[in-house]
Amino acid sequence: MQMIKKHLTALLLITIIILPSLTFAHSDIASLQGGFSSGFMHPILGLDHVVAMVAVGLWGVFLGRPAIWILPIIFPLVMAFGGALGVVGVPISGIEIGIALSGVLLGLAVAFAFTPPLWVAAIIVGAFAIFHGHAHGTELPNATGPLIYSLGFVTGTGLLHLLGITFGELTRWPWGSKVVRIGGATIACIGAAFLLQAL
Amino acid sequence: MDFFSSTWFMQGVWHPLQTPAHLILVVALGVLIGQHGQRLRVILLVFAILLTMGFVIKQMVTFNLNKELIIVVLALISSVLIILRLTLPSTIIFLLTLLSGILLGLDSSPIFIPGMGESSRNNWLLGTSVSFYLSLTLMMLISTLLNKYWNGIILRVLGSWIATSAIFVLTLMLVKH
Repeated sequence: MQMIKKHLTALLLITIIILPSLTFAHSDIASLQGGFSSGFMHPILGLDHVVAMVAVGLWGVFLGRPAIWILPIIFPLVMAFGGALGVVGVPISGIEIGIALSGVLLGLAVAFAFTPPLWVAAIIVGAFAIFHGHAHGTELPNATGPLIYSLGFVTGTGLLHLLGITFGELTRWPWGSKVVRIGGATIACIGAAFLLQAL
Repeated sequence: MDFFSSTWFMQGVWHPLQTPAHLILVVALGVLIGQHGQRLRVILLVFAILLTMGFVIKQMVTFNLNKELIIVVLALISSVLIILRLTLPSTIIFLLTLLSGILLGLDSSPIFIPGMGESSRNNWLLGTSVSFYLSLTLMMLISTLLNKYWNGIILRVLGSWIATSAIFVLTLMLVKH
């Protein structure tokens, strides 16, 4: 362990020494940064996506281990399946309704501290992930660098889950549990507003 | 004639970081190796040798392979193995390292400029080798450390992110073909 830490420090030092000599104005780097940041911002700029992703993290906390980390792993993997359908051009009707419903139902699950068996939670989260993935997937062929774009939005999605998990950690305190459940109710309300818009 | 060109060397250093397919394979492979934490030095040596072999073979033979597709498939396989966190025999890790090293070597070459000297190309390849090697070592060490905390959850989440991106891009590549 001590040896690994020593090696890691040495490598980080080498990286720090090399990095300043590299020019960030390089056009390829700029385009990569552009691709990553546009993918990264895609789930973050859409409030309907944001509330659903945060709700997945919050629900994971209520469900406890191992759900707290299984749900954020299942979500992107099933999202990839939905995305593949979007890339291929398989139409799924009611994408916007599905995304809005994910906010409503996941928000309600948090608000009522609903704790079903893990497999039920995984199916619910997975089903909604298909809608979110399809929405990302239809935009992927237009991206200049699809791989870096997809890395960006997967990272953005993951960080939103992490945000939910972090906020959900408030449940360690008795007052925190109420705050988190109010957060869930707020998410459900936002989802309902999107649902009304989509209908 | 300069024996060492820092410009070409640094362009080579940037290559793995500018090529997303190469980067995700190095990250996935590094995490997988670190997660298993076995015979790290031997694996690094195998990777370095195979990478160099890939560079040499590329100069001698032309392949009509879609190398990027195979690289993304290898990244997908590695990331799925990270998520599953199975106890793998070291043969599988070695095989993945071997294939990754040779394919990354075959898929890396500087942009051809008329009149480009042999030394420029060699400097570029040296920079690329150093960058691949350092990136893989860094990822291995980081994942060896992270594997000890929270049951290695962070690594499995990272694996799921790489797998998702790989699935998206593979679908897109297959659709375009």
